[in-house]
Amino acid sequence: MKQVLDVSGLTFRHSSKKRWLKKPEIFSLGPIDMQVTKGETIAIIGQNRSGKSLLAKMLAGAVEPDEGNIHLMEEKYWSVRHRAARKNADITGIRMIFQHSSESMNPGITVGQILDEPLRLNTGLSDAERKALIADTLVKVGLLREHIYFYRHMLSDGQQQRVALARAILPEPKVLIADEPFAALDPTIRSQTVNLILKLQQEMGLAFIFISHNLGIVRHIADRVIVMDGGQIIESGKTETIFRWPQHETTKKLVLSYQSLIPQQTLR
Amino acid sequence: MINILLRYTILFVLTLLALSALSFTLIYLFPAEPIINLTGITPQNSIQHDALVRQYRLDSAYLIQFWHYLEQLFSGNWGYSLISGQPLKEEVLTALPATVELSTYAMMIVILVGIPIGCYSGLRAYTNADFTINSLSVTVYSVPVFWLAVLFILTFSLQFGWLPLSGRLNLLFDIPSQTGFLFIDILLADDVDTSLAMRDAFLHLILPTLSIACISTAAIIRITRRSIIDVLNKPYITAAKARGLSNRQIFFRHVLRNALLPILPLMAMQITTLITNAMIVETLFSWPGIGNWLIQAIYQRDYSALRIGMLAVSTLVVIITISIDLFNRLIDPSREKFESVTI
Repeated sequence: MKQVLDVSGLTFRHSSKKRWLKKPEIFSLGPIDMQVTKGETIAIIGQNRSGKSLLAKMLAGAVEPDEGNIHLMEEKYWSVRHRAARKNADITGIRMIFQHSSESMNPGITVGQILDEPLRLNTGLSDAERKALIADTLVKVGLLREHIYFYRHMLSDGQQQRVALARAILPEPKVLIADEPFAALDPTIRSQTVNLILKLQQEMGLAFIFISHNLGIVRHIADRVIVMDGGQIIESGKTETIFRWPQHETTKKLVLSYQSLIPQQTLR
Repeated sequence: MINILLRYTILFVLTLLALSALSFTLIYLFPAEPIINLTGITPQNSIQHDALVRQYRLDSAYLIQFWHYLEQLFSGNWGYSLISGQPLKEEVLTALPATVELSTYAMMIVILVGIPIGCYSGLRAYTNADFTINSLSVTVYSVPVFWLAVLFILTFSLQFGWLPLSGRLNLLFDIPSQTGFLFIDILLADDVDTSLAMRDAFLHLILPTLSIACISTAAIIRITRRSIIDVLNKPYITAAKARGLSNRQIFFRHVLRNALLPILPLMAMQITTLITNAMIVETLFSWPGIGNWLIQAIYQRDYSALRIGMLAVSTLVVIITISIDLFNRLIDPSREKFESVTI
């Protein structure tokens, strides 16, 4: 059991000041503590506005937390006191697939250039080596080598999802975070993508954290589940434990709504 | 690719055809006799009148007349001015370059000043610097161009006497018109003190250029700012941030190009405003351009000149608009290849 990611006391506060004709809005997240081990799959579930996406973005570095520390492989990855730490740290360690993967790609450049950028900036590979690596990765995620010449709008949703996945796994991260990666896909493509990610996870040994509303997939692939509500982790544990013996009221409702689709099973 | 070019060519030809049809109908719509409106020559007697009517085919059907009119336009016979009696082609070709020159310099100022300030303001959105720039640009944008020009004249020419009041060049310089573009003409001219003439031409240029450029710059600043803010809110910028790119890298790699592509057609629309403003400002500064020439034609009821002037200016605007749109289509990868062609 090797710890890859160690998050402690991660907090985010948002409060807009009271203005004329406007109520002050207060939203706070955390403090969040979580540990992730190598090769583990963790699912984050919860209602809308419970802070799931925000947590994912904070882990990936897209949003700056107000307090807390993130350690990656025992090394300081992010902390408020050492903002500069992220510059020195291996920033390819955590990669994210965003909720709208098509929107998260620059429409003005080709897939080849999109995939080339993280490699060019983070590795010392030569042009030819990078090109070969990109072609290999495209094949690995089930696309063709020719797709490097395509622009984002020429690809279908499933293909865009695969490009986003390829971009995330290219620099060989330790942790892959995905925000509702399966939401927009039809069941066939969805199961293909799930299998693809599981396969890559086995090959590369990366930890996979994902957000999903689809409890069927969560139960199928997650090792551990984190339930969030109102910016707090209200329950976490092994998948089967959570699904069989939910403790918290919100968790019970979530699990019940899922199990009402499967009539032969009852809550104990 | 060939399809796109073909579409734009067809659009271009059709637009020009409609414009020339309009200018042809003006022959019959203007108050004087059609033959006078068409040629600019007032026949002295009925024999000359009949000869002109036969020469310009005004006795045949309208379609044949129109066809003949197009032939005349292409062969360079644009008629004569009613007032000066000069061939209109020569008059237009000396006046148009002056306007084009003025608009080009103004457009350069607009792009070189407007886009960087707009980018800065967009990157610092909703800060005090942004609010200052934004309110200044709204103020300048709402100032009428003729009033601004008069204000400039009052301040810089009359009050302080720093800059010349009117014209393109001091009358002491005798520069033969070869290309119509003053700076090139000065370089081509013999026995003229080139540096002195250049300096004088530059001083004459400052006020008109500035008064045209101010308003369009204000518009471009606000368009650019909006576009930058829109792009900054796109998920791919968040994704770039998550990948650990610095702000500088994000701006130059992902923001700039995506922000400027959609505003290129809007800039093309600014060019038409710019030319219109140039025509107004020309009158105030006695700039010998097409605007000044057209206003004179209106005052003097020079119908044949009005007809050709309208055609020349609108052709210029159509050429610029269509070519910028085509350019934008060629460099913007996300525009659909089958999207229909419009101006």
